[in-house]
Amino acid sequence: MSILLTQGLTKYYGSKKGVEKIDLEIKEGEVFGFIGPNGAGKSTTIRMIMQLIYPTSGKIYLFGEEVDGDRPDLRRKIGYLSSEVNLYKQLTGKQMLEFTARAYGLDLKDTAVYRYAEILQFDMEKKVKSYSLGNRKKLGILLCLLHRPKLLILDEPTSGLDPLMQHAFFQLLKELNEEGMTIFFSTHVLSEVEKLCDRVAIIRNGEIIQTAKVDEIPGRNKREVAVQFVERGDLIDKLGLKTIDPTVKYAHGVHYFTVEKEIHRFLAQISSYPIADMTIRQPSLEELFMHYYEKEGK
Amino acid sequence: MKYNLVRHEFRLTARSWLIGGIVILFFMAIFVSYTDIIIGNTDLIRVMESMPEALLKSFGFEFEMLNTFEGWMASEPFTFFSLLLSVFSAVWASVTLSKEQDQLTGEFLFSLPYSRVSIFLSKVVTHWLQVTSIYILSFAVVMQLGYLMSEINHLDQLFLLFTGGYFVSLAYAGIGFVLTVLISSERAAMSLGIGIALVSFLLKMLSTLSEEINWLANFSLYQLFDNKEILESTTLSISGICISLGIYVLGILLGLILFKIKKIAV
Repeated sequence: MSILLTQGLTKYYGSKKGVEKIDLEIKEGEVFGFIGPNGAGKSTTIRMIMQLIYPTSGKIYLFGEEVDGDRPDLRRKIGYLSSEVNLYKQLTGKQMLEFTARAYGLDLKDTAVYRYAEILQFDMEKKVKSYSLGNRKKLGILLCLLHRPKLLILDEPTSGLDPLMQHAFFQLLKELNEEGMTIFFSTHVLSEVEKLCDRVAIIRNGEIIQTAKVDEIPGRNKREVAVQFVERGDLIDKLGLKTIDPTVKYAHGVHYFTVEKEIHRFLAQISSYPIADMTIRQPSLEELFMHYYEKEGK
Repeated sequence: MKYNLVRHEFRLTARSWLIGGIVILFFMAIFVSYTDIIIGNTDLIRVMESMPEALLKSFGFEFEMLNTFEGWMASEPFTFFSLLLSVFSAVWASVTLSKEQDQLTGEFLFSLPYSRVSIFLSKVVTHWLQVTSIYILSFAVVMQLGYLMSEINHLDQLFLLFTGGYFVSLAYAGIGFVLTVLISSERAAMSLGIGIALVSFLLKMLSTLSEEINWLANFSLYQLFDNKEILESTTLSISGICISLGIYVLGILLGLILFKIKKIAV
């Protein structure tokens, strides 16, 4: 069964395009990634699903029912974490949680919030205005989880969380997913999608350019290797580096290689030269997206 | 309307409600404390006779009324009660949704399982409870102090005076409930709320300056209830009640309709 389905979802702000013809289908129990660079239209799409803004055209179905206007009955089954958590500064974390629990007809004591708060190391007695960005995010996470929603919609959930907390949060999401919660996860960080998601939709300039399984994301296995040799200067021709990687580039004393498979073979080849420093990193989503820009250019 | 939302809204606005209530009660107490100085004070009336008539009229002074407690309350205190309660009422109504937009809390609130109608009406109910409580408290305080310091012969007249001021304040709230949907900036909404209530009072004042600009009073809701008429007839004018409550209800309905189709800014 489709938990969330959008068909031709389009939003225009006057003549300016927000998103156009967004088709998404998220099945029950799935962890679905929604990836794209900042400003691609992820939040616009999510805000239409949450009925905060209304589409110019297209349809949204939640839990098999068409969303036409304001549907609090459908929102009851959703937990939503916005990209920027803005809450009532004069209230304490606990007051925020109590208010939200009552909104779902629950008593805070009967929810799993205290356990989640322990996992995230969150002190709920302080006022919202005294919380750091990370703590506000943690409160946002607790608020969207406290009623055990069927569908969890997370818009850039890890921004503001330190790596340890990100790990704890991902573990919690995995646990909830195993219990049957469907997760719709928007991010611009590819590694987050890889850790968690089954499938992804890639959005750019307000349009879905690909929906695929995580393994099928083009270029996700690519690694950029920056090598600084002991000998200074451009050594591409001198050392014949193009035989190792035809796309090798030199800039500011560093040679940049792109390696997609068999990184051990690359390391074996490159280690025959004296190396001063070396870093290996996964290309950013923006860099991977160059693939699509280039394709479009052609 | 939901109890949880009303309680939440009340918690968020408690401080401004307390400030508003204290300011109005303080003014009313001060006015009552002047009772001995005002009632039957021929010297004071002589001094006032030398003042411009328009100024006296705009603040509701009628010399023949200043012989009783109710008459004194119907003059400057009634004007100030109407003005202050209207300003607070207009401001609170004007910022009710604007602040959610301005402080970006709207995205959280409107994603909860409450309909927009519930959220809006809960805010309206909270506002009504706050304005009504100040109206009742003000009347109660003035009545008690009046009994202590003077003599009240016509409590019904006193009650109708306060009720008139209360109805005027609800009319300004009606205007505020439309503004709050249209304006996303809390400061702008607050300024407009205060501005409308004050400019309206200014128009009433100006209209008393000369016959030729008498028509300006038509743009002021403070004109809906005439203090002298309330004292003489011991009734509130039907047209005043209909117009003030009509504006209040229409404002809420229009605000609600606009809010239902509004996109939530983040």
